[in-house]
Amino acid sequence: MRFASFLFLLWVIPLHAGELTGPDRDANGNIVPTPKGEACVEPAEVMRREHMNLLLHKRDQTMYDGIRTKRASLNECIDCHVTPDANGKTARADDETFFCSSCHIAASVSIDCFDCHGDRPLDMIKNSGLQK
Amino acid sequence: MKYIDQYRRRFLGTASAAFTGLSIAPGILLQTVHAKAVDEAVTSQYRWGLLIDTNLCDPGCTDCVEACHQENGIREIHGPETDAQWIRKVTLKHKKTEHILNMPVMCQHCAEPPCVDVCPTGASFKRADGIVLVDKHICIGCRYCMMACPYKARSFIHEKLSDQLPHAPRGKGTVEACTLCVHRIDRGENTTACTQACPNGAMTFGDLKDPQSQISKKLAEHGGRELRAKLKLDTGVRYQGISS
Repeated sequence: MRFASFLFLLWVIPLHAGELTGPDRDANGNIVPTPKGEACVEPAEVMRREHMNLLLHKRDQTMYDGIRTKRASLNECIDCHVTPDANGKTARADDETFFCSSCHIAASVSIDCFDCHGDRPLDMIKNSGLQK
Repeated sequence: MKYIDQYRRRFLGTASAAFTGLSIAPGILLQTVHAKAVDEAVTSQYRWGLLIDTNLCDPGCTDCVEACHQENGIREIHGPETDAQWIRKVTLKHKKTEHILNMPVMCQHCAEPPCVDVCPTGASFKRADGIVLVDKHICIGCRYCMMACPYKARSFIHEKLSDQLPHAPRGKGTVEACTLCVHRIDRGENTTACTQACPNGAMTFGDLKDPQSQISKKLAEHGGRELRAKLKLDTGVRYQGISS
């Protein structure tokens, strides 16, 4: 029986090893899709801890004061971080390869931003024929 | 919450400012014209509105409705009974004169909006420049505002949506209505999708507070009525040719 599990592991490990590394994975094996831009608005450590506060602040500014600057705008996050793959398709909000979901699924923190906000850039929506 | 408190304070602020204005410069009206910078908050210096000439509105034409849907990413789901409607064409016949009226009706962007009065969460609100909006982040979908609106201007979203446009977030379980193309106004554009689409030029968009704007000039020349004016809601959308 012990030999059988050893054989099973021998078969399973190489099968999944490739998924835990690769260009879109960070050191912990989380999926981090390649962004379009060169640098984020803040260093990665700041964004990891503070992105929700930046977005919340910007959300109220846009909603109530009509301030539509690009910094900390969810639309800009989407434009840069949701990029098409080789087939020209982007991951959708529910996929674990989607930029936000890649961490949020791992951290088990559900977000409902994409119930109302589009999960891909305007160009992609236009290309899909849904919008002129 | 910070912003809701601000909204309440703004009312008191405006009241006191009015008194100060009286004591400093009686009879002198200061008019400053300057476009809003992108990072500047909207102010009550503007009041955006629409003027609709019903005599120029074609009976069969739905160009404004289609342009609105295109602009805001509103797509057909289950048909007119439950789909969102930000503008609809209304036809009325006067009983005595038999005169038939055609007009587009959308959110009238009231100065005293009943939808804001009844909203239990503060989601329904009026911006400083007079645009009435729904903050969908705090909307619980109770639909009190839909009951309160005398113009039937608001829609409830029943289905899960996808591929919303970046400038027009919309989602299941929230209420929505005409935003007066607020994303365009914030970009500094002086028009709405419906105004632009009207083939007869029946709609005029502009600043009601600026006496030099096209809308104010047209109103000064020919006047314009509010729908259900007796409710005294001081609507931002005005109509011409509805008195026959």
